[in-house]
Amino acid sequence: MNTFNSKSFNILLKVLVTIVTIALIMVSVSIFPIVLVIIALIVIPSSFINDTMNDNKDVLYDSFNMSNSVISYHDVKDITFSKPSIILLFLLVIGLIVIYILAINYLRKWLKNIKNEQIFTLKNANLIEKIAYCFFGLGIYSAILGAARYYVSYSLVSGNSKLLSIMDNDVESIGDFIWNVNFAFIFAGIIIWIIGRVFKYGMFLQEEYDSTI
Amino acid sequence: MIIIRLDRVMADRKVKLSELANEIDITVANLSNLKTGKVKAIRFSTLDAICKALDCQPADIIEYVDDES
Repeated sequence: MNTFNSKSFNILLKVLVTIVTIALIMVSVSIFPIVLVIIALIVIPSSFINDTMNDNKDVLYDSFNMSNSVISYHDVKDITFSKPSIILLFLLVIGLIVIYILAINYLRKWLKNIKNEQIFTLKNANLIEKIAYCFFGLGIYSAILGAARYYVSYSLVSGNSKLLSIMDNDVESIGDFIWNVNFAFIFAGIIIWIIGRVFKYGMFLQEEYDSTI
Repeated sequence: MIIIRLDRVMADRKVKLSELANEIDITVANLSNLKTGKVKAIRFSTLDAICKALDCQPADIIEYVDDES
């Protein structure tokens, strides 16, 4: 128990809690611009965006240096703005941020509990398990975002295969979806989940210790 | 089951809870829990200190009673 009472460890915990709180605020604030963009997308009519894009097709054709590729000017005309798919992508990004917020919030609560010398408690074990579930979610989410990106690309180019082929899409099939799952997050999640279970056993040992005179 | 007879020994020796707690260096709350049988286990060191303070044997403090009887 001396480790938890030491001055340097308490300072480290205070610094960590501060860093995590700042991270939590920053990540929470990052949702607002995305929400504003979604509102703007809902308000602005699709026809206005498509007209603006049509007026600038020449610039688009030149800027991507498409004259050197198999893409013809006719293909570029297939690029149309698809409101629902873009909104879906932004909503998925909000979902990703929400998972990050949850994970950081659980971590902050855990650190605060350790600071208050509540180490092997059921509350902490559950918090660690929740962090692990967030990591599993983040691991799978990267594949979902990849699939959503492909859907958005497909909608934008109206299914034009030539345009679709030059786009950098990671997820184009179910096999790609599985391999696009972030296994580093999944592995980290498994390790954290095991630590959560270890904390549950630690809680049992702590109870035994506390009820021994 | 195991029954703690600490209250009986303490009454015999006319020792108060706070005095004993002070002598064996544990909190009054913990000693009270021990007296009322609310604890799961007792360390040998605690038992040793109690026996020394009350000048008794462990059997005077701890007693086995058959559940079925």
